[in-house]
Amino acid sequence: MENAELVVELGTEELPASLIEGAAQQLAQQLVAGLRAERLPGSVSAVWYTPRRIIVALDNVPARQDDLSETIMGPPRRVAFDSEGNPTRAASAFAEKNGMALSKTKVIETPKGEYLSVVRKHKGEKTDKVLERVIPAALQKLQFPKTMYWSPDKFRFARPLRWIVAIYAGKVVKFKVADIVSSRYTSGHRFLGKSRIPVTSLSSLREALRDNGVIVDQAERKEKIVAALANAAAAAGGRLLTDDDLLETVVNLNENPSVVCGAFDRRFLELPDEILVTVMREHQKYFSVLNEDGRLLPVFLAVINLPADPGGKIRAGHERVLRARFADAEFFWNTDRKIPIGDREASLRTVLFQQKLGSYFDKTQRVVAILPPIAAAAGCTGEPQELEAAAHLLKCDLVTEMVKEFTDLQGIVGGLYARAEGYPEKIWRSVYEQYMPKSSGSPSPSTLAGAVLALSDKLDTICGCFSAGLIPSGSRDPFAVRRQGNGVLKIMLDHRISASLRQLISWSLQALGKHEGETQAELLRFFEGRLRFLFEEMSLAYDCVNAALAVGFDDPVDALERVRALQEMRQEPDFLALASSFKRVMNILAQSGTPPGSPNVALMSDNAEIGLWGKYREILPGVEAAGKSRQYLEALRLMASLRGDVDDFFEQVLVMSENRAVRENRLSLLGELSRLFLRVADISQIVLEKTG
Amino acid sequence: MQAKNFQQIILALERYWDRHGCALQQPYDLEVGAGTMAPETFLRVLGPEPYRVAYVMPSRRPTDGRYGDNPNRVQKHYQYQVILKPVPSNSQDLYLRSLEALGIDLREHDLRFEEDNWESPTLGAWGIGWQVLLDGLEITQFTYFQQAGGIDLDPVSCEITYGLERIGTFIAEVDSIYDLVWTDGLSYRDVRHREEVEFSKYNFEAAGVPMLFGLFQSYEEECKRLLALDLVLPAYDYCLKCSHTFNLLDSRAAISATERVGLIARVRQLACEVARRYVAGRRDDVAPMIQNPDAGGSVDSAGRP
Repeated sequence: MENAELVVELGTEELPASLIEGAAQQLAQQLVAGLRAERLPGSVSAVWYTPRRIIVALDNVPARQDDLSETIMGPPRRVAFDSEGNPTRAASAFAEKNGMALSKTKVIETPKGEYLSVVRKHKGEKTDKVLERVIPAALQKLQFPKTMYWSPDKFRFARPLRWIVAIYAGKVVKFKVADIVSSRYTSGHRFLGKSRIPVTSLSSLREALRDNGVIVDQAERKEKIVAALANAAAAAGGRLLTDDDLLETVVNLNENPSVVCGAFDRRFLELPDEILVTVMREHQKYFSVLNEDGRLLPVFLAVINLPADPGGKIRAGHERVLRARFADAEFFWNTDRKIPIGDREASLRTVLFQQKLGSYFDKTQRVVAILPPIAAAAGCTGEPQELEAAAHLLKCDLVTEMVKEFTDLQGIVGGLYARAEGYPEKIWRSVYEQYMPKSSGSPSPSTLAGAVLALSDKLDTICGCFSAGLIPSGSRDPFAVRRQGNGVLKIMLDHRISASLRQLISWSLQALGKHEGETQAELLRFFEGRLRFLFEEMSLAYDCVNAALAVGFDDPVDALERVRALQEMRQEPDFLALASSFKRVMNILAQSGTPPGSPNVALMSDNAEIGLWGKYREILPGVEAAGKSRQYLEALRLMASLRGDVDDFFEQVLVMSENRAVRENRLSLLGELSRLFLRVADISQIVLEKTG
Repeated sequence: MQAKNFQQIILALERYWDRHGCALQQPYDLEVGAGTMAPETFLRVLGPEPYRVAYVMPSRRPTDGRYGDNPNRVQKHYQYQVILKPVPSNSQDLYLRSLEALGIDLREHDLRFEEDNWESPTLGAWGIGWQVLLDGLEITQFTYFQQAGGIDLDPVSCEITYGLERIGTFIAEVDSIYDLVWTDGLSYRDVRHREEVEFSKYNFEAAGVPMLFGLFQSYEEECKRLLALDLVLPAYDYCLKCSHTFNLLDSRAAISATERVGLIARVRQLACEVARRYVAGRRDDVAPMIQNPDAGGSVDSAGRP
C-alpha cells in the first residue's frame, strides 16, 4: 500500500477573527504530533482557514504503522535465577505478567548489568484505524482563550462545530465528536453555496468550495482584498490608509471578499481625522482613503462577504450606518466643547481609577506632584508651568462624551480638544501622546515634555498598583502594568532620560503616601524583568545583557550603553580571552573572599605580579575617566589591554601561596581587578562560544 | 412576504417562531433593561427542562435617553427575544430564515456574525456569541448562554435578541427610528416621541434620588424576605425592581464609581440566590416539564413540534 493524503475540515459557526489562524496552526501541529506518536510520519501540505472552517491536509501518510518490537525489562539476572541457575518465582511472575511462556524470556546485557527481558511484537495498525483515535484527540487539544459548550457531551470549543470532513486515502475516517459524525460532506458559503457537498481529497475540497462561493486559502483572499482596496482607493481619487491589523481581520471575516466604496457627507470632514478614522475602523471595520496631502477623502471602503453589490443596496446600507455613527461623533464633538477641557478636572473626582488608589482626580494630583523632579532629572527645563498645565489636562477627556463612546481615543481626544481651544502645541501634543508607546515596538511621545508626562503617569500607575497589591503574576495583569513598565523604560531609552529608577520609584511612592520598604524592592525586580524583556526585543545578546545588568540597572540608559559596548567588544579575541580569565578571578574570589585593603608592592616578588599591578595602575585613571563620561567601549578597550598581563600572572604566579601575607596580597590584587571590571559589567557572564 | 411596517415586523416574527415551536409569550409587566431579564429567559434557561419561547420586550435603559432628539438612541426600545433550549444544531439557519421571513434577501445584503460575547454582571450571566451585522448595522445579538445567576447551564440555551427598531430602519431604509411607520397613518414618532422627551427629563433630571435609594433598600429587603419564604418568582420581581432602580440612580448620576460596584454586586447576589432557589424548586418538582429526563426536548432539531 502507498502513502496517501489526509484531509480534515472542521466546519464551525463563525469563529472570532483573531483566533482562526492560531486554531488552524494548532490543529496542524496536533495532527502531526498525534500521528508521530503513532509512528506515522506525514508532512503538512495545507493549512487554510475562513471564519467557518479550518482545513488541514497532510501528505505522504503511510497506510500502516511499522511493526514494532518492544523490549520489556524484567528482574536482574541474579534475582531471576537461583544459585543453581534455575528460574526463580520472580522470573515466572515476570513472564506471566507479560503473557509469555518462561521459555520466551531472554537474558540481555545492558549498561546496568544483565537482566531478564521479553520482546513483545506489535503488529503495525492500519492508519485509517489509528486516525479514528488521533483526529478526535487532536480536536480535544485545541486551546482557545475562551471556550463554550453547546452539545450534550460538553465538548468545548471557541464556537459550535457543525460538520467534520475527515478523509484518508479518499475514504472517510469515521469518528464522533460533539455529537457530530465525521463524513465527506462539506458546506459552501452561507448564501452562495450548497450544503452537503461530497468531496474526496484536498483538491476536490478546494474546487468544490470554490464552486460554492468560498475561497479557502487565506493568502488568496488577502491578495484579492489588497488589490480591490488599492483599486477602489485609486478610483476614488486617493490612496489607501493602510492598516495591517484591519486587513488581517477582514481576511478572517469573509469567505468571498470584495470591496464596496461608499461616500459620506463632506461636512463630517470638519471633525478631526483621528475621530473619523477610529469610527470607521473600530466600529465598522472600514478602510479610509487619503488625498495627496494625507487628509481624509469623504469616502470609505467596506469589505463585504459577497462577490459584488450590483444594485448598490449594500453600499447604501453601509452609508446609512456610517452617517448615524458620524452624526453621533459630531454631536459629541459639539457638546463636549461647550465645557472647556480645563474645566473638567474637578469632575474627575467621580471617575474611579482604582479602589485603593482613588479617583482620576487623585491620580492627576499625584502626577502633578512628581512632575518637577522627574522633569529636572530628564533635563526638561523651561516653561515648567506649561508642563504642569498639561498634567492638569491629562485625564480630563475621561469625562467627555466622546471618550465614553470611543474609549480607544482617550488621550487623543483630550489633545484634540486642547488644540481646538488654542492651547500651545507643547501642551496639547503632550496630552495627545500620553498613552504612547502603545507597545514595545511603537514610538514614544515625540517631545521631551510629552515623554516626561507619559513617564510620570505610567510610573504612578505602576507604583500605585504595586502598593495596592495589584502585582502582575502569570497571565494576570488587569491594569496592564507590564506594558506600562515597558513604556516607562522605552521612553527613558528613546529620550535618553538618564535617571535613577530607585529615585523615580521613591518619588512616586512618596506621592502615593506609601512607605518604600518591600514595595521598592519588588518594583526594582519588576523593572529589571521589564528591562530584560525590552533588551531581548531589541535583539541584544543575552549574555551581554546578563553581564551588564549583573552590576546594576538603576539607570536604564546607562545599562543599555554598557550592553552595547559589551556587544561590540565581544567581537575581539583579547576581550574574550580576558572574559575567560575573569571567570577564574571571580571563582577564586568567591572561594577565598576578598581581603580588605590595597595590595602592597613590597610583598610582590614575581615579575608577572608586579607587571599586572603596574599595568593596572597605568590604565586605572583612563578607565575611571571613561566610566564617568560613559565611554564604556573605551573603558572595556583599556581593560582588554590587560589581557597579556593577566595571562602571564595566571601562568607564572601561584595565587594560593603558602605564605599567608603573600596570598592575601595576591587576592587583594585580584580584588582590585574585579572592582575595576565590575564598574562596567560582570564579564565572567560572557558566553565564550558565540551562541547568543 | 415583505414586512411593510414596524408592527408587521413583529407579526412576521411571531408567525415565524410560532411555526418553529415557540410559546409566544407577552411582554413581562415590569421595567427591565433587556429581554434577557424577563423570567421567561432568566429563569427558564436554568435547569434541565426544554423550553422554546418568543416575546417582545420593551427594554428600558434610562441613560440612553436623548430627549427624543437623537435619531437612533432612546431610553426605551423594543427587543424581540427568542429562547431555544436545548440548542438546535441549526440555530443559525433558523435565525437566518427568520430574516428571510421578514422579506430580507440575504443574497443581496452583507450579513455577518461578528464576535461579541455577552455578559451581564447584574445577573451573574454570560454567554458566547455574536452581534449580527446587516450591511454594517447591528440588528441582533445571538448568544449561547453558558451561565445564568452564577449557575452553569445544562443544557445550553440559544438566545436571539432582535433589535426591532434597527431592523425597522433597515427595511424602511430610513435614517431615524422616528420616521418608522408603525402602521398606516401612524409613525413611531406619533406613538413614542413624547414618552422619550418626558422620560428623558425624568431619568436625567426629575427622578427623586433619596426616594430611589430608599426604594432600592426596600426592594432588596423584600426580595430577601420572599426568598426566605421560598417565594422565588415574587422575589425575582423585586430583584428586577432593584435593577431598574439602580439604572435610574445611575442616569441621575447619583452613584459614585465606588458605590456602583457595590450596588451591582448586591443585585447580582439577589439574582444568584433566586437562580439557586429556582433550580432547587424545579428539582423538588422533579422538573415537571420533563417526562423522561434523557429524552431531551419535545421538538426536533429543526424546530418542528
